[in-house]
Amino acid sequence: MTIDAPYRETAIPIDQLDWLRPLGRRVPSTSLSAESVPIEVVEIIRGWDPRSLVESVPPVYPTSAVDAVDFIRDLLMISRSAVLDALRISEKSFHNWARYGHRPRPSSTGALWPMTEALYRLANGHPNLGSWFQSDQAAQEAFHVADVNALALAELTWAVRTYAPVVRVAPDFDLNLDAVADVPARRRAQVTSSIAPTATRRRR
Amino acid sequence: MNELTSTDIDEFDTPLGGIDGLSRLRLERTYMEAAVAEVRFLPTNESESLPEDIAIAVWKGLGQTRFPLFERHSMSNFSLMVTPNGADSSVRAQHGWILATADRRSSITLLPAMVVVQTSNYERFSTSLGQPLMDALRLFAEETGASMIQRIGLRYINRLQDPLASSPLFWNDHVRPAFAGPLLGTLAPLVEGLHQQVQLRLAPTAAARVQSGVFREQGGEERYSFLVDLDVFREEALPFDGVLCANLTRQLNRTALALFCQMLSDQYLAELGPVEISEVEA
Repeated sequence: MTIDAPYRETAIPIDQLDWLRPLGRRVPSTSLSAESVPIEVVEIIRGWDPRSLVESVPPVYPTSAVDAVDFIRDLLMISRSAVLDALRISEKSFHNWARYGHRPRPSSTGALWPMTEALYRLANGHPNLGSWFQSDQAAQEAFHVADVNALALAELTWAVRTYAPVVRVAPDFDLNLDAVADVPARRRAQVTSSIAPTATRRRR
Repeated sequence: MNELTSTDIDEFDTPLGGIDGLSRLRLERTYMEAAVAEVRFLPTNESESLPEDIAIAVWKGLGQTRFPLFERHSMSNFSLMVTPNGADSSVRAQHGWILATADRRSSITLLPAMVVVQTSNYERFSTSLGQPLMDALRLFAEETGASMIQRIGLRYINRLQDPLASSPLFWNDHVRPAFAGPLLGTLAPLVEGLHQQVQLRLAPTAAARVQSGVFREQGGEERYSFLVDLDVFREEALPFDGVLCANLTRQLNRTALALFCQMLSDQYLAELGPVEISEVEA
């Protein structure tokens, strides 16, 4: 029996490639960065076609001392020598690691790995670690004396200041909403708990 | 004369694909979530990073006070290749720089072979996308030596919201039948969400991808919005020329607006507050 197929098989590979080429070609998208677009819109577009969104590349944890120095340099947008100075690593040691592949002795890496660890974690939670570092005096002072704790504390201070906790206003479903506008704000009930009041509590 | 090299304003004001549309129009009552203009160049070398000194030169040219934020930026490109032996995908990272306004609502991304202008503060094409893109392209080409364009694209994300849209059915009167799909059929009362993707060939080297659909807004109140993701682009190798590039981008903008108008009913379009704009304003 002959099947009337929509395509014919061929023994010539190049024909097969030509036939497949349209299948392998995906319509490219104009780059849309998720930053500055409302999250609910981003989620819809991501659900429609995740590849039509530009996603930032998360930092990769360095695996060698040389990479770690450059990792810190790139994150904080400072020079390599500034990193070496702050972390008490001699130029000669770094030169030996980078040029001759010498294995770093623990005593010669200074505060390199604790700082790398801290910055890696901070970078994963901070929208823009480099710009923050460039504008934060306390962070720069902490880094220059290789004080990891003080650096993390400076970032925490910034985060608390930037993302201030939202004060929840207790909902009252029996209240006339038009009347609420006339009630001075200081007289409205405020709760700081994240647990919503139950109906039983409201009736009391 | 090659039609693409003409600088005749009228010619590039005509939407591609013979689409009817109101090409000189601004809609007062829509909210543009994002507008993007992108130009991809033929890479001048194999580097996956744009050197810092080049980015700084472009930044200084554009105005450091206008874009006070200057940051590193990495972007991953996903590529998929289907062969007789199967599909092969890869992710390739490109490293560049991003210049942004203080509120981060407008930005210019510089990558080794790409310039992207994005804003969520769209006012009109010329001031929000057209001129910033042309300024950045001129400086980028001067500094990098990039001379061949491969792709020009415009993308608009528009969210149509209405306080009366308590059901997806609200939109079947406001969206034209071609984009309303199941909202017009027997299943319409059951529709909870809708997503449609249409690819259009507008010219031998120009195309559009239109994604649209209804979705439920987050929050307690039951409300449904209509989202339009409009991507209009030209893929063609062209020598970089500032005037030509400006004209081609403007033509894509006219086409995008014409396409957008094709999606909505005449009545709803009138409700969105169309305002005729002059050539200077456009």
